[in-house]
Amino acid sequence: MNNRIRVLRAERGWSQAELADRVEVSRNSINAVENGKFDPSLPLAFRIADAFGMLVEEVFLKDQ
Amino acid sequence: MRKKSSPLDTALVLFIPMAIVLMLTALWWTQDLSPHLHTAILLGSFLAVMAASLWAEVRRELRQDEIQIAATRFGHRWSSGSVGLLVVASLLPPFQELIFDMARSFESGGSTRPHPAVSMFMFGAATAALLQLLTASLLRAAWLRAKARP
Repeated sequence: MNNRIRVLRAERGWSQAELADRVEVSRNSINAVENGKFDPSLPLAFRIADAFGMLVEEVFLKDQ
Repeated sequence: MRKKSSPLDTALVLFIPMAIVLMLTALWWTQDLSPHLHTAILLGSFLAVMAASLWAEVRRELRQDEIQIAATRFGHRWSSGSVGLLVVASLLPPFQELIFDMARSFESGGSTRPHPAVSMFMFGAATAALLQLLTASLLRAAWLRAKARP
């Protein structure tokens, strides 16, 4: 699953740690999700999307 | 969702090593008492340490987020192989000779020591448990590092 987390973070000037605090997970989790090495659960995907104020499908994109 | 550790978690983490030290001290001071009392103290303190360890472990797992849980599951799933390796190793002649030598060293104790077979069984069980825990921990760390490396 692809995602736009890195771009969205950069637009807001957030570090991985800052996003991790906002969605209440470890920085490792954000790192793994951002790099596409770990697919988040649906609740975590929604929390990440909420942190950016976006819909989940605007943050996470299915593989082509 | 990740939860912060509470003062109870800190207390549990501090309690376990303190309880082990207290257990060893109590065993030392009560070794001249009756064997039943000595065994009761050993069993009671061992159960207290085990219960505190399990409680701390359960609380630690509840604080984990999903990638940490996935890493722990990965470690537990594959660490059972290390115990299987120990069983296979015990069938090989060099390891059998090692076990035989260890059994002889257990026999050299005084009459107050447990039966050599009991000592060997306890040693084997403890080694298998420790090996599995160590392997699970190493696999967990390796999996987490592989997934979360920048």
